Amino acid sequence: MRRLVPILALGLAALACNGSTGDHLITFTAYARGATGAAQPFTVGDYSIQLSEAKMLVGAVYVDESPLGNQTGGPVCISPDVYAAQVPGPVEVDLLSDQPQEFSVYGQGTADTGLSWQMWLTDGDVNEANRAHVVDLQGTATRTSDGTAIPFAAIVTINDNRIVTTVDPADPGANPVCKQRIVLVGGIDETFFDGGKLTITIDPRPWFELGFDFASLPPVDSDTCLGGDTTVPVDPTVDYGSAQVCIPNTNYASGAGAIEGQELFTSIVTGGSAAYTLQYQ
Amino acid sequence: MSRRFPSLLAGPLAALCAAGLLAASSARAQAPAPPPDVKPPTVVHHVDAVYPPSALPAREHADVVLTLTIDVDGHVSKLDVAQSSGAADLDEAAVVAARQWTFTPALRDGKPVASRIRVPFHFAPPAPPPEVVDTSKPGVMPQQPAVPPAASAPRTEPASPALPGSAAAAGPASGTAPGESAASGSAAGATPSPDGGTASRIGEDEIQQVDIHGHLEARPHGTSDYQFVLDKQKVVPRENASHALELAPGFLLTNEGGSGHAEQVFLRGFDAREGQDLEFTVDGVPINDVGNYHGNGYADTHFIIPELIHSVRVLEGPYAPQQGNFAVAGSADYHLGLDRRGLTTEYTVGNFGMQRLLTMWGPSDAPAGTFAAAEYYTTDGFGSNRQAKRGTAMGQWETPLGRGTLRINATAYLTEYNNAGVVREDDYETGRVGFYGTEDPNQTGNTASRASIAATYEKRFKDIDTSQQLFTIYRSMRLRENWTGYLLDVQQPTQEPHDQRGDLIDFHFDEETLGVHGMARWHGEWLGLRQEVEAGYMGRLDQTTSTQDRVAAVTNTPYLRDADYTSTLGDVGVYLDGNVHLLPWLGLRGGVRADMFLFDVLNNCAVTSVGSPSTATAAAQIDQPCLSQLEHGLYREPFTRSATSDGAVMPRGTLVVGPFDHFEFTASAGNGVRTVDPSYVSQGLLTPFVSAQSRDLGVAYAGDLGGTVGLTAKSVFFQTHVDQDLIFDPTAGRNTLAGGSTRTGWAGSARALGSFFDLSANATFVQAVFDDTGLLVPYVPDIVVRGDAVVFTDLPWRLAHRPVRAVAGYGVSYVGRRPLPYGERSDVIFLNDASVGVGWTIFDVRLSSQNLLDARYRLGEYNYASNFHTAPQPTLVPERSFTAGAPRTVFLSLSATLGGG
Repeated sequence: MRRLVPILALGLAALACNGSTGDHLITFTAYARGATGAAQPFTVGDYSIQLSEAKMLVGAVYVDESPLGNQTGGPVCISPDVYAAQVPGPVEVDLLSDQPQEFSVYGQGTADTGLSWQMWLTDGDVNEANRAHVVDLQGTATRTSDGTAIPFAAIVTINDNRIVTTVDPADPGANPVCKQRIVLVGGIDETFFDGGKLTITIDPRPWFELGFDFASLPPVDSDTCLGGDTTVPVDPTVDYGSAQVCIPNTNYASGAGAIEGQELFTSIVTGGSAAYTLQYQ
Repeated sequence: MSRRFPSLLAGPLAALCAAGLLAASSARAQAPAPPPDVKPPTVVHHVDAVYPPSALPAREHADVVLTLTIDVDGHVSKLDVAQSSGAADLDEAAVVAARQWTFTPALRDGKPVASRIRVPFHFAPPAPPPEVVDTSKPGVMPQQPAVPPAASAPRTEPASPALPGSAAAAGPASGTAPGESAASGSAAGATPSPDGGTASRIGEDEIQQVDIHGHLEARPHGTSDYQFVLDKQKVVPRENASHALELAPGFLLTNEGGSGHAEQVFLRGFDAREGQDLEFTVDGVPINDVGNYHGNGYADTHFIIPELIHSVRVLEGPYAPQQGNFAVAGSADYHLGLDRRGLTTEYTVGNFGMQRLLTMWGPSDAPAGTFAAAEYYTTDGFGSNRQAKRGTAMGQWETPLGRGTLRINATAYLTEYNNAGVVREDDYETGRVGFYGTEDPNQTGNTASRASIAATYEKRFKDIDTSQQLFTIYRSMRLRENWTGYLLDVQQPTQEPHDQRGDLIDFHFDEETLGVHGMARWHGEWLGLRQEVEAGYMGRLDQTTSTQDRVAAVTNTPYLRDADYTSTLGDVGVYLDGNVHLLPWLGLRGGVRADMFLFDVLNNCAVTSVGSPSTATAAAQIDQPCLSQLEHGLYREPFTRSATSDGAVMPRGTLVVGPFDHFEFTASAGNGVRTVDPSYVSQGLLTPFVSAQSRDLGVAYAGDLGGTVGLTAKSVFFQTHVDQDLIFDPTAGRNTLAGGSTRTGWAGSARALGSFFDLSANATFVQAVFDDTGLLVPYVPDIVVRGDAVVFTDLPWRLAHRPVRAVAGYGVSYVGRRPLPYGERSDVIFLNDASVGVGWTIFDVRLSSQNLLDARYRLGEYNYASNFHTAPQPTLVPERSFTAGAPRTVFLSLSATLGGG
């Protein structure tokens, strides 16, 4: 007995130190890059588009353990306990470069599988007014039928210029601005592990797939191009460069470019897996 | 050892074995009669000496002779050990008991005078006696049934007079005060010998019996039953009453909620949170809250002034039928008593602005169970948001009443404190928040209070001991803590657009309790062996309210109500507990307990007319969470009550084999229950409790080293299964029900007691896993080691011809890397506490330090998602957070005692 007790105790001590609660916390590096070929001309409808500048501010990335599901009401801005990974810091991505551009922070998460992900287009509080350009675009659209070249530019900000007005007074909070700033993307099946590398690829070309009539866009010195988002004043020299026309920075423009202004923003936030891909390796 | 002397075990004397009978001396036949004008003192109130738990496994017999000075009021005013047993704990047990005796004073010429008597105590173990009772042997204690019926009358005979040549007769030279007479008392038929010691001649015709008063001791139930008299162990710095439990193996106590928040208890593979899996009582009065939404079973022990803890009984596992609700991992019962008699005032000052004023008194001629104490404590805390202050008052009066003992206890306790809460590891690493900082400075204004009155009457009859207790308790607490920052406040369509307002919890709980305890213990003889059967009951009725709100950080006002429950909760338990001896070396202890639980819950959180909401009212209900409060799939109205009741029948028993050559073996098994909080009843849970099944295999050793050092050791292998474990949910700020789990482990402990030291050490290894996945239960430490050492002696020089007392204490704790969620492990905790003190006449000074080496450690560690706005964007995945352990604290205490006797 005198020998047995310490032996059993030591055995239990060894056993006691084993085991796991399951899962693991992980950290990883995170990058964003443009799609290969985005810097080359591409054709959409009657236009050949050559982008000379394409930047996108990605404020954060969150990977959800659930599939995209039915998001008829738009994204739930913060839904606790569903995320496998996060990159809670920004990077401004040069979309014309396919070289990985590192986020300002490391990613963190758990060793779980993500089935959908979110891209947050903000550099501040997702519900606060935001002065950042989410997207900067400059390029030339050349009409293939007659060779007319139209230098164009676009800035995209997300403030009251994008907010969806709630019509039901019983649901005053149905459409907070955060819903406009979060891009939902499904179709992934990535299992995360410690020390990995997350790369998101952003292809601006699908943003144009709705087919813009560049010839009908308003001139950059028009009120439409200089306005749009009262929170973010436009400096045409900086923001539009040598462009002649702009895609309006609002969903609520009227007249020339009104539809294009809506459609560009819609394409950006609903670009899906055609415009945005995520890899973890 | 005891097996070598079967004939000496003349009576099945059970656990209370010393001086069970105090006989009038037969010295009339053997000693000169007292002078005609002197009448010796006689015993009025007699308290058993408790056989020290540390000596139980050895079952040693021992004799201690005390010299008692009886004042003119019949109280013991001075007490000396005239003849030591050689074991400090046995000597102490005799001293503690004798101090509580009262007498009719000695009379000289019809007038009361001070006197001095010698009282021998014979300690016999509680093991079953041998078949042969031979009371003619030296030192034998006759068993009680052998006492002639006539002797069961109240003792009125005088104690025997002093004998020529005895120390007591030495007059002033041996300490007898002028005017004192000298007399000698003796125990249990022992005849005073010429030298004043226990006589070697005992005759049954000399045996007389006195009433037995005092605290009825619980019977041990297995090797995992730990009973500690703190005594000198109080020298080791301990933060509060809860930390006294660390003398038993396996305890880890943490506190993430501030100094007034109940300690989180980890024990033998359980995360008992603030007591949900551990039944806490103080002299039988429950401490666990029921119906507390923050933690059903929440046990705040801070109302106990540590200096008043006489002893602690920790029973790890549900093995005694007396254990009630929450005794899943086990139970802990504090026994109060003031050993330091007189009027003591103590002032303590420490770093971080800590000050404490303590005053306590216990008349030297009153039993240890009569005392009063009050304290005021304040501290700035060791970091942000850690200020605290408290006031506590406790008083107890113990007096003979009729042929029994009445004990009335009253307590009042108030505290207000701040709470630093958790710190995210990444915030600490990047310097955004200091190690002792806080993520949310709004965690302030926490309070707790308690007031209680308890009356206990214990009475011993010829063959039945009885106890009845009535208690009433008022409890209140407010707790503000923020675990998740700004994570949970999701914009709802029905709400006006808003920023996240913060997740700060503002919890409030009120409880009014009325309860009763009662028991009767029969003892008799069967198979020639002493047998006991105890029957008892417990009942408590609680009226409780729990509310929990979420508070907006900007306005510091509630914006969302998480919970609002008003509950009437009842628990009536009845038990039967046998202490049956089948053979001298084979016994069975245990029986069965049945509890009936009643829950009547009103969930005030339900929304009026929610069954058919209108759009007009929906907007006004923007933050009402009660839309999700379903009962059986139906929405509830706020006036709809939920009620349920159920009973639990719990067999519990321990097989005791031995002792054999210092070793005793036990096998224990038992079931326990833990009730759930009322929210689960509101949600349709029909059985309001969770069951646990536990078993132990233990061996205990007791012996001595060289005859002067008592050594005890225990080894226990255990396994406990619980049907539904509790898992901490930081989003709810409390524990919630999870799946079943099983923990398997080993605990060992040892204690060595000498004339100038008291050493204690214990270790526990355990693995707790969920039944369905086999994964570890998070947060539960798998290795806990604790050591305590105390040395005490008089220094070799004297000051003004008075001795200088010295004490030193040292405690060390080691906690292994605890499993955390997501496969992580915490850091190791390794702490050292120490104190040194000197005393001279009525003065004492002590310097204490906790965390002596100033280790920077994380007391609690967690992995969960939180967002305290310390990153550019929300942090939504799990991240390490911690609560900081206290840095080195240093306290200087000065005290003076008047009238200590």
